[in-house]
Amino acid sequence: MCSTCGCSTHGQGTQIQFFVTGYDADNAKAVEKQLLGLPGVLHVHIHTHDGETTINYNPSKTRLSELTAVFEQKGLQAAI
Amino acid sequence: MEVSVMEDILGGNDKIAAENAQIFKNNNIFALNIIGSPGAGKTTLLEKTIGKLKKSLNMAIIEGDLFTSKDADRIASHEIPVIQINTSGGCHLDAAMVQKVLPQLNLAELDLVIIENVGNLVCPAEFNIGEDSKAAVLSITEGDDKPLKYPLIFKEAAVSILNKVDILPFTNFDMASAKNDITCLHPGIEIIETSCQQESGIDEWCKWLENAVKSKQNG
Amino acid sequence: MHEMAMAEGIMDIVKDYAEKNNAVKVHTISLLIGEMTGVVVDSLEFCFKALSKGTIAENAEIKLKNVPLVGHCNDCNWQGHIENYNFFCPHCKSGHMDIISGRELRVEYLEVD
Repeated sequence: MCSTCGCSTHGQGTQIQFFVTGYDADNAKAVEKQLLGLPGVLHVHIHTHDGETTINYNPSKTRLSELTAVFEQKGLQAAI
Repeated sequence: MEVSVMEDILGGNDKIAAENAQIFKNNNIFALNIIGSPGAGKTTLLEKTIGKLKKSLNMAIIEGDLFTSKDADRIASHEIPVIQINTSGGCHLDAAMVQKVLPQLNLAELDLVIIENVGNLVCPAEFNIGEDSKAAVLSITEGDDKPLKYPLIFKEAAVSILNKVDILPFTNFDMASAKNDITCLHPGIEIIETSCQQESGIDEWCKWLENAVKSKQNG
Repeated sequence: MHEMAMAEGIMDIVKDYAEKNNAVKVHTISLLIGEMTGVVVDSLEFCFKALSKGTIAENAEIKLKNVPLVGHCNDCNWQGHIENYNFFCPHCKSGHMDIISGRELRVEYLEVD
């Protein structure tokens, strides 16, 4: 496909936004790093002050449950 | 009459890529897809690679560009089989383009096929062409912020080559930061620093390639 | 989404299957479109109409079947339609949801002569 950039084989990433309680400077950085390291995750943006966490990812490469597991592992509460 | 189909609309390229992968497998060939911006140093790196490896490995190169055979001409001067694919405006190689030229190669005799993709950090990352691995080439002059701006290729690549390190002193490229970002995107990715001008890192890169070929051929 | 790329993909599949089945005319193309794919139907139909002019699929009717976004909770085994893209289990509130369907982009069948 992609004649003059209609690009993308399966749609460019799904964007999902969580609101997370319990961020501090350290764990926010750690969450960002861990999320980015997942195979399908292309972009992570975290607002530490209000917990707004935006993730752009490919659901066929990484499951939503893997995303939410990252918050859980750090003892954080994530809501949509 | 009703004809049952059940085919993914955007699955065309992947099917052909799988066929290419099978062709490489049948011929015991390790296929590498090299991706990077225009001017990152892909072709020069290939010239250095050929210089080091052509005595020990049977290699062929497939060049992808919009127009001209300039890259293929450079490779041809090293007396290695090379084929130029011109996309005439297309921004990436796809599996069908590669499949079309494979019969021009003496596949049975080859150990390594390197496909130098069109200069572009975006689209080639999306399209499999049947390769065993992708390599992402980023040059110092492009800036240390590029990995996070173009995450997909760094996630897809098995190895990331940071090229033109001889120019580091003349730029504000933060090597630690770039390597950290690449590793964040892809924990475990191999990162190799190279300078084609000063021939540094080339041995390390060729070693990686030789090991990759060996692993493929030992099944 | 990239409706032109999709229309090309559909055209390739239609041509392929029509040839394999010695068809002379394609009357209907049935598509499975998942709820989460964000396909703009009008755009897709427009692109396909343009591409299919002069081909075996000219004037073919495009039938769209929407596949709902269904999730399965790995914690409590709840399975059902995901409302408002809220991927937390409505039953046990856990975030361990997998997507069962809703991402499809498929040609289901063709009606040909």
